[in-house]
Amino acid sequence: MEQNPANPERPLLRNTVQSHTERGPWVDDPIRSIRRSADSPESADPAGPGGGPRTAEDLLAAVAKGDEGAFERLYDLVAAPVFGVVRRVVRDAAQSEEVTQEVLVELWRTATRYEPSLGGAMNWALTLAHRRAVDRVRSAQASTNRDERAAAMSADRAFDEVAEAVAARLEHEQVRRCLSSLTVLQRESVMLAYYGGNTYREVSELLHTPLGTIKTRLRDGLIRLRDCLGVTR
Amino acid sequence: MIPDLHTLTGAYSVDALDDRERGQFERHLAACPDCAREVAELRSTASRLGAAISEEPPERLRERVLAEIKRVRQDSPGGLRLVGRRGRARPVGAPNRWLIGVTSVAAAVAIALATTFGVLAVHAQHQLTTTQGELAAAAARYAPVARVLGAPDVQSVSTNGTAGGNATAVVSHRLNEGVFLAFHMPATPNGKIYQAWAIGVGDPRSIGFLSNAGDDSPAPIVLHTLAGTSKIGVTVEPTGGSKQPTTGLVILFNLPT
Repeated sequence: MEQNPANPERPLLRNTVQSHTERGPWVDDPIRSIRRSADSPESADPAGPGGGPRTAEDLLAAVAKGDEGAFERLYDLVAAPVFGVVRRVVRDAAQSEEVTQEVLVELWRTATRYEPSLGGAMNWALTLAHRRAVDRVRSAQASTNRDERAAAMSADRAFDEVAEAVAARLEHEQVRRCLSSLTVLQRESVMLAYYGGNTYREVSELLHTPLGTIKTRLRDGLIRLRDCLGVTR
Repeated sequence: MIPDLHTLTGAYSVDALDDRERGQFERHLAACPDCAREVAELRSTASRLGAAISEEPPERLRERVLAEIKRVRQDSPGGLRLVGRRGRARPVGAPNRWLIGVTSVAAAVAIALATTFGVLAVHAQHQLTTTQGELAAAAARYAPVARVLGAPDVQSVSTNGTAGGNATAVVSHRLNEGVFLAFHMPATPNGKIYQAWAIGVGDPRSIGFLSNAGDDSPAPIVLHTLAGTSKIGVTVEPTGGSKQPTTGLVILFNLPT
């Protein structure tokens, strides 16, 4: 059995039986998904007839050449994770659909600039999704009274709300386990910032904790998660 | 590596910096390969958190997206990319075409207004009193307006729109906040709205929509982060808004410094 050098707990199997909640090559780090595609042509990835592109990275490379069929298959890989992130941050269903559409079209438009050396295609898509979701809530909240909303919401309630909703939908056991390995403050900071779409300043207010502390807990927390998840890039 | 800035890698990776800090940090990133590597890793980590909460979008979204890409031209491949790798990253050194547009539109607007209407001037202190009067009713409903107007260093600026209407911004640098109102704007065509933009370094940032075509008691748009914003502009966009301006500016003015 080959060991994943970044995370010895996790065997790097060719034909890993994926849990039903894992939907494609993107759930793991890009290195693994690239290896899988190279090593296991028999895998059940959404390959085209005649062994077309299979990983999200391959698909994105084909999309960069204007291949609409490849985009369709890429859509099937990334749309649910993108929508999940956007929905979590934006919340409103109609707006989440709009933002998801923007993100996916932007993925099509900017595929020409994707470089595998910068990270996996799923990472690329989700980074964009989170950024656009946050843009949307911050500009929307600019026209309501964001400060008052944040102040009115007690830290406990805000955190509980995010934590419950996320815990209920955290489909990946490993992510759940790694999150629970963080200190309480690290975990709260990471979840309120990433899933809640809050600035670290807002996180500091919500948790009644000094800015500098939140800044370092966010970083420490993410570093610990990185090591626990075995993320290399 | 500057220690204080370096600790922002975490916040930056999960989009938890405000615009001003993000700008500062991105400049730092360009000169700090260690930070860039850490950001890349922490972003991948954050994406794993994202992938864990997948949710199937409605089927209609698939149809809409697949239909839209047939109409959208892909970007030409860039050269070097900005380290920040935000969605609309441009090749390093390439100018922002939209900003060049803004600059020339700004020049055209300034000339047109200066010669034709003689406006586009920062209100003098006595004129501010008038603005305060105009806004008094709205202020009761809208706390942010009152807050900015109450600031000791409040300043205001007004301009006429290129296609009618007029707009006023009231800002306080001390509060790092501003409020923008547009009055008597011509009605937009069906399916279009006015979208307001904060323009400064980097891409224009949407600050909200004008809900009040033709109205004389408009809803104020609050600009929460004044720092880094030098101009406010308004464009006509499809309902729901655009992520970047797609049409010419119908209002543009410089904020008081």
